[in-house]
Amino acid sequence: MKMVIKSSPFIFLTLMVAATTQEKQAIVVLNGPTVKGNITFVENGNRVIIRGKVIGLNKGLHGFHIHEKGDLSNGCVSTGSHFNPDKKNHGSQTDRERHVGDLGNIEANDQGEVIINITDERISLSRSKYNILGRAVVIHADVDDLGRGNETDSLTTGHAGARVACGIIGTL
Amino acid sequence: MSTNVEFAVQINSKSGADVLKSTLKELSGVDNVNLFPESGILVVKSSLPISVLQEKIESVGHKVVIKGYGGIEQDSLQAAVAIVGGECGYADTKLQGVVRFIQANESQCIIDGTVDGLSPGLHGLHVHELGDISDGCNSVGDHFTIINAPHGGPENDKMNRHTGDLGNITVDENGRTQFRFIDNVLKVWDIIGRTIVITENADDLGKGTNQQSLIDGNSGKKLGCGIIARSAGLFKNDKKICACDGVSVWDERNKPLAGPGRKYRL
Repeated sequence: MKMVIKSSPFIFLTLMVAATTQEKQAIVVLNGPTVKGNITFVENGNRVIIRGKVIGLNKGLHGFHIHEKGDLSNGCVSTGSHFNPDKKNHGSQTDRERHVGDLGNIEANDQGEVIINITDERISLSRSKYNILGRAVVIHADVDDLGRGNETDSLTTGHAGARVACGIIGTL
Repeated sequence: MSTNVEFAVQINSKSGADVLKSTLKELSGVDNVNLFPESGILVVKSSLPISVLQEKIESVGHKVVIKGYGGIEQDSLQAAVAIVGGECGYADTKLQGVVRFIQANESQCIIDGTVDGLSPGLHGLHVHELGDISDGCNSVGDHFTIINAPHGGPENDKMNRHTGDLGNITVDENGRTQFRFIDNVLKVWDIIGRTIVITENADDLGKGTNQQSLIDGNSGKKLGCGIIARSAGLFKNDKKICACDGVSVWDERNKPLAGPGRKYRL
């Protein structure tokens, strides 16, 4: 009996450790000249929960996307297009027709801060076709029109303008 | 083992194209040069570090940007890149560099890099397990390893080294290193999203006498690091202009990555 009591917390702890190590996590650190922040990605079953805080933005909506490559050696050109393994048009995060990397807009308050809390079922940290590790997160200067604008680039980029911050998604 | 590197080059004349081709072909280590002047694409097959080719192309008066790279077999290859220091990586000092990884085939990974701003001599080069630079190079975890093995050198078999143990790089008196070597243990698909680290001291490759030798080869402080990101293989990036702000492949060379410098559409 004594043995059981002694060993059970140990077993419990071991199970806890096993459970947390199975949960895949990633992080992107944004360290631009004005815009800074950390965003984490935690995979839970088919869902990825995206949480974080970004500061230094202009007030309002900003396009928030994952690009195909994390290669920033030649800036935006080397990151390729929005991550789009299913060859779809640009859309909103809740549209069926969207790039996997289309995460919609984030909205900065008067202080230029955003608290991000998004759950997404398309991006993944484990399914190889949809895996976002080693790709780039880009925050844009302008609002993403979610493919609904009449601009020439609405269906490719959401007409979200220049980039204000980018970072590479790394293993956590 | 040679690899193909795809460059975008600005070609203005037939004679310029001929000079470029002959200059590259004369270099020892270059096997083949293919230039497509109408599309501005240059493919060089060689065993030289990419930056050596880049410098040579610029030396005969052409602007050049790396577009993609891969092994000799066309498909099924993966390429990755890490920027050490600068805006996307992290470094305490002025250290800055680019390290590229090319999975040439199932077993051989080519590691190609250029780093500036180091002290002359040997410095350790390792892949660490995490891609977290929220606390600079302090939050990248330990040496990445698939097998629970002690620290070792790149010549050791996989049972006697960490997967990420890449040994040392040699820095010249100007503080620069250009390297290219093949590793048979590391695979590109295992290191995407992890971090490459350059250390202050030489790595003793696990041959030291203290306990630390079997952990990190007494390689000391992490001077600089960068997250290993996916990059384009050969002919996989046809993007020439940024759809978002109109910055072209050529303007991009001189632009900051993000922020006010990019605010205006060109």
